[in-house]
Amino acid sequence: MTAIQLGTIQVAVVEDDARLRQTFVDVLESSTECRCVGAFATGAEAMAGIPAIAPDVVIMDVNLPDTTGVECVKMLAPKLPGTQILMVTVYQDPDTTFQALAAGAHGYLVKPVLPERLLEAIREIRAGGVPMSRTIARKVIETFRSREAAEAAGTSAARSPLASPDEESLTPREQQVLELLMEGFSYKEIAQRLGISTSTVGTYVQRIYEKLHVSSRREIMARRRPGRG
Amino acid sequence: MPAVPKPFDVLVAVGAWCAMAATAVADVRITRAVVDGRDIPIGVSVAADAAPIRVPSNAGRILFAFEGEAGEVDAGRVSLPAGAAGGTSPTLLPALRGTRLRYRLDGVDVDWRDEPAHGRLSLIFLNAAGSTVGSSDAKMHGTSEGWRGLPETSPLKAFSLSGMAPPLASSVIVNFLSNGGDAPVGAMAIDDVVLSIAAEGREPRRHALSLDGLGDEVHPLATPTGWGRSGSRGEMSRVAVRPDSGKPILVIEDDDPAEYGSWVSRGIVVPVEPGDVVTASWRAAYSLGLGGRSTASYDRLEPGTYWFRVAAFLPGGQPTAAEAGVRVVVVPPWYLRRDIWAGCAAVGLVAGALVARAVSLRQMRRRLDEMERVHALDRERARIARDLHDDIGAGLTEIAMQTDWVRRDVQGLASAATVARAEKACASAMDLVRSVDAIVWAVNPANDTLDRFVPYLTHSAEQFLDAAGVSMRFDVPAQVPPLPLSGAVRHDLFLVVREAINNAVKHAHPQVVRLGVRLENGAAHGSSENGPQLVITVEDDGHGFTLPSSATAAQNAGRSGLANMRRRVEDLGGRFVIESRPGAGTRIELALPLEKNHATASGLRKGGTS
Repeated sequence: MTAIQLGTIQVAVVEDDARLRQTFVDVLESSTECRCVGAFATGAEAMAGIPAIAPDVVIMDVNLPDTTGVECVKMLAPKLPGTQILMVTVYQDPDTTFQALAAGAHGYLVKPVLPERLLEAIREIRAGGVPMSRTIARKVIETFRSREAAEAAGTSAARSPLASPDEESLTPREQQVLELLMEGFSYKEIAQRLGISTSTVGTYVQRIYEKLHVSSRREIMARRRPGRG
Repeated sequence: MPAVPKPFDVLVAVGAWCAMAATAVADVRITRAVVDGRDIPIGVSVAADAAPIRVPSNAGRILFAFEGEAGEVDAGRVSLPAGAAGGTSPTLLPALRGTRLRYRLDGVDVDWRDEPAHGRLSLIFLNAAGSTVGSSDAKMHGTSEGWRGLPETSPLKAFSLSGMAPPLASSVIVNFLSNGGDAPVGAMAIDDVVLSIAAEGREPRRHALSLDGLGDEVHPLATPTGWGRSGSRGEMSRVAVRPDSGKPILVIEDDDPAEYGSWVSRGIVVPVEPGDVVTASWRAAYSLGLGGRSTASYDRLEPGTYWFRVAAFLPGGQPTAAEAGVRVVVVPPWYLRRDIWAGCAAVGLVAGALVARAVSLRQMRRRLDEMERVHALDRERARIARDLHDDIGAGLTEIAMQTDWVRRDVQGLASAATVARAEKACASAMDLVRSVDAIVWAVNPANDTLDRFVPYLTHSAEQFLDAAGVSMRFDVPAQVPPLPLSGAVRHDLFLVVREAINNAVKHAHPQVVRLGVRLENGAAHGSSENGPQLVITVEDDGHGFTLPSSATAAQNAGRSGLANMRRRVEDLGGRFVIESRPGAGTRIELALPLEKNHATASGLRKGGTS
């Protein structure tokens, strides 16, 4: 990680509402830990500008006037492996949230995001801990299952030669964590049940996220390849 | 009644703006009143004692046009208020040319309304020949927080704007101007302009655009090195000294809606390459409104008497006494007037008979209209959802964020009660954002299917239960078919389930709340319905209670919530079952035949799609 100013987290904001964008800038500037290095009003500007800035964290609104935040994530995430993307949603819309997470976002916040919560979420995401909700867990399971079913039926795009099956499919333990999460168990309850620590549950969840990203990226690439239906 | 100012030609002594004599003759006029596109003559009788204009209550929109200008200015504005500039700069200001117009409709508005205008900061990209090849704009809108009437003394707030250098760009300059596309009148200042140039694979470069070469005595018409005055009237752009820091700042004082002032960093070369991302950061204080002429409109006024007023203010927002007003009487509709009723009764009988004959013909047409109506309704719903989200949602979010910030600022400085009040305001705004969310979600036709509803339900449930610190178990299928479910049904179902979970947490003190969702075949369940049934269960292991024997008893027992839930579900054509015993928890089951919902707008259109 190259730190231009030692210790400060470089943050870019993508938000179409001018007042809110400015409030995010205000919050970031009020903190000693963060510095706002970019403020974008549209998806097009963000997609064009953020790769050059390569910030540590991007605060991304889900709804943008010209494109969706999800499309921005799809485009930015593969380009910026060192950048973590935090989605900001207004609708309690788990579908969109899941799409963003699958596309490579690292976490999400539901508006209204209070100043302290925003800074806390930035710290959390830098520390690598992004909790997974039960509703998202259900969608992750659904995704992996339907992909397995498609592979079994031979309809899925060919595997990338670079990705071994291990990199993409869930281990039995990860599967178990996801299923318990989907059934409503908290991290703590899962830890007790499986005889592991709560932070280990968090580690499993991070690995599940990574596998989700890898497989979504592969699907995007497969879809872009011409001649495939 | 308070003293009514004379509408015309009020001589104003402007104390707040200038310590030394500066008297302006401001003139404000209301020029037109337009009701639903039709002019209502107001002539010259805008005086307070003139006859009011009369408007029927079925009128849609009433619009007022008004204008104003500063007339003669006596002696100009010679000096700033004592102490405002720290005595360091004798400020020579040009004559006041225009006034800022504010308006209000007494009976509707509680305060003066400022049609907010904006100034801008533009990043302008130039090619090697110095021609513009692209630009990027940030607006500074309305009035900045803590505005104190003068840019030198008002607090500055941080801004940030990113733009990408287009092809052929070789340098970037900054243009700070009071021309926002509307015709602003007001004052603004910027300071600490820094450009940060970033590109992939390169460390970002930072360029501070400082204000140098002004000497010890900063003259308002001095020019910092590399900066230049532009705009249609150069003297609107001046330099001032902040009394708090002693630092110079760039100021634009725009007193003329037809003109604008500007500061451009044309002489400060900041090289860029195409594709570079330029992020400008700066601090600004501003207050910008409309001058010259403007309009105000009001929709669907209730019957009653109103007073529309327009007043002139100085560019920085200080009041003058120049004001004009017109009274408006909205006449009650005919159906609230007894005299008209009597006459109508006889005519109505005859008309009724004629209408009855026309009805059968209309029924055919109505069916044809139905399809179009469904589509129009969906479009309208989508629009309402978007507006609610964009305006109300974003505004409330802003309120929540700002009040939380206030709480953080006053923590430890103000009394516990003040902190608690800020907390309460923030919590209320947060609640409202969530309510708006729920409404937006319910009215959006994109959510009119079961596979959208179920994740929304579990998502809300887990957020609520997590916050309450109650464990939860879900028995919900991973995949749900996209069966149609109309907005009204979704919203009612959601409210019932939320109420059930709320009750469990509030009254039963459970260890665990279980939420189950399943699809059943109605016939298999002994129901007369043949289509699929949605069955939702909410179960807790809490205290439980003795079920009252009837709905009336339930109400008496203070459990009117239960009766409400039952009524909502039964109104949807569903079945509501509750089981509870003291010490054995509570189980609520609601079952809803899904086919019935085909009779809804979206059901008709969307049935069978996925």
